Amino acid sequence: MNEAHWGLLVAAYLFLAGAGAGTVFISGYYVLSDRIKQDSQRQLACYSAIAGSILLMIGTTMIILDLTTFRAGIVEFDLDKFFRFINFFKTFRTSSIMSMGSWLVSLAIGASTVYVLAFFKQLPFHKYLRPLAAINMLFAIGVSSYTAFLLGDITHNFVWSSSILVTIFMISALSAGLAVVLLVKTIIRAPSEPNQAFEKVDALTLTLELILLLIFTYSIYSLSGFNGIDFPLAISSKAGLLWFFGVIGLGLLIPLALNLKAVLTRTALSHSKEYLLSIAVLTGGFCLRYAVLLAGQYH
Amino acid sequence: MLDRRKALKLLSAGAAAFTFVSAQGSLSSIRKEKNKKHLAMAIDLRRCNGCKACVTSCGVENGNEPDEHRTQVVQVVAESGDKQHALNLPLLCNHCEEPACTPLCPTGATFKREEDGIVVVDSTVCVGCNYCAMACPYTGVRFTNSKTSTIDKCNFCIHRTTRNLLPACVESCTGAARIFGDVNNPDSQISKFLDENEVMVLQSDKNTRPNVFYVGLSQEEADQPYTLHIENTWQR
Ligand code: SF4
Ligand code: SF4
Ligand code: SF4
Repeated sequence: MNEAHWGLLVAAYLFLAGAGAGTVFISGYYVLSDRIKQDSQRQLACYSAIAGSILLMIGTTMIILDLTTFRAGIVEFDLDKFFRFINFFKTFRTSSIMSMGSWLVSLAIGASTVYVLAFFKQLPFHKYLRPLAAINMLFAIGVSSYTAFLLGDITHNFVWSSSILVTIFMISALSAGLAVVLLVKTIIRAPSEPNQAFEKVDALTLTLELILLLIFTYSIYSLSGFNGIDFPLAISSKAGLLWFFGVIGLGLLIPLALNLKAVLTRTALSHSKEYLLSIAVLTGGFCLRYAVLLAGQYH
Repeated sequence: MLDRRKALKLLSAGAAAFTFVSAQGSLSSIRKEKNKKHLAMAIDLRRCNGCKACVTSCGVENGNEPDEHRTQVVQVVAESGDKQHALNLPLLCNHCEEPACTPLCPTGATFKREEDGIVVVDSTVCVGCNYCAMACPYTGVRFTNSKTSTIDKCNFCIHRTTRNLLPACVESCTGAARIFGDVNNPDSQISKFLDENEVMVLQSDKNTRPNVFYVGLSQEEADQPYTLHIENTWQR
């Protein structure tokens, strides 16, 4: 039996689209809050916009790679199958979240590219940097919530259709965005925010995410009990291992501890800890999507 | 006694659970549009002997690979109250009245035909995103066809039935358990069969209103949550 299965590539798509959107969102916030009057912050906002844009593009590549026709097109040297993904853009179906999402993500990639270019003073649309930042922030909200609605529209699936999943994916996209911005900041050696402001915001986001994840875990636990199905996030399963160690342990508790320590001791994180924190949050964000995908395929 | 909770637990053990509920209500709503052709299949579980001639003939007729099935016959144990029944359960796409699969398709490759109600996949349009397979609440009726690299499923043998031939599985059924035809034609075999029997559909709680009807469980049994414990997956 050749069962359809959504695995690593779809998880990578959901994660990268979310992380890209989160990064562009924070970059837009830097622009709109006028932080970019400082050169170092302007550089940070610009590089973050580039990173976010690239993440969105890599994410989209992942979903195309997951299409059975695209893969067959490569293996069989069949151009018709290779370019079949264009069918996504031959129609716009309001009944299909995936159809609307394909357009949304493509437009978001286009908008973020123009936004990146607007950072260059020589280019004509530089004067539209602020409105472009605002438009990109809206696209970011759309893309990060779409990744959850894509699963949520499969209404008979009690894991994927959990209403809290949209909020979780959005918060997780924001924390992944913060991690990417932190990574960029560390790489370009931009100065830290005064009064551990970044660590405080990050800690708050991660705390909120942790609370939502615990509610989600409990609701899936009770729903599986109600349906007479084994808890799909049980630690004995692959999804459960990813969930408790990858998402909650590595992706939330470790970064939260690092942030809280920095806030409480009023000391900036060392560069190595900043790298560790970013990588941990990003790994956790990926594990979150992968675990949810696996848990939803409980059949 | 197998209650709902315990019954559904079987799912997690690799078994599949289905709820059989009387489909008379859904059937009468389908048959309201008297002049419209409406194709459906009825499966008489009392007559299925589990020979899998349908599975083989379907594969040959539609040129599918040996491990890619548009229809399956699974050996199941159905438990209701303290009664146990062993039966052969043929499964295929239900060509639902309210398909869960078609609205979600991003390309429109899978759709329900206006003229006869058959749910089809256009393999020249499908991109192979698998969204429809995730959306279908009946596990295993949609699969990836390794020749076309797109989603495939039962299409009520459209190339035969549009020429007034019977689907391959119906024609080859050794127990005459599969009955096919237009439910809105009062003279069709399926119409008479549906009129004479208490029919049920699979997983009516999913509200997809299937067009594959099953006969063979008593009403008393069918009114209870029914569990079909599938020990082995299907082979040809
Ligand atoms: S059984 Fe599944 S694939 Fe077939 S029409 Fe119904 S929802 Fe769609
Ligand atoms: S796999 Fe094909 S038929 Fe199914 S949803 Fe995707 S494009 Fe539509
Ligand atoms: S109707 Fe045709 S395609 Fe469908 S199960 Fe029967 S033989 Fe296969």
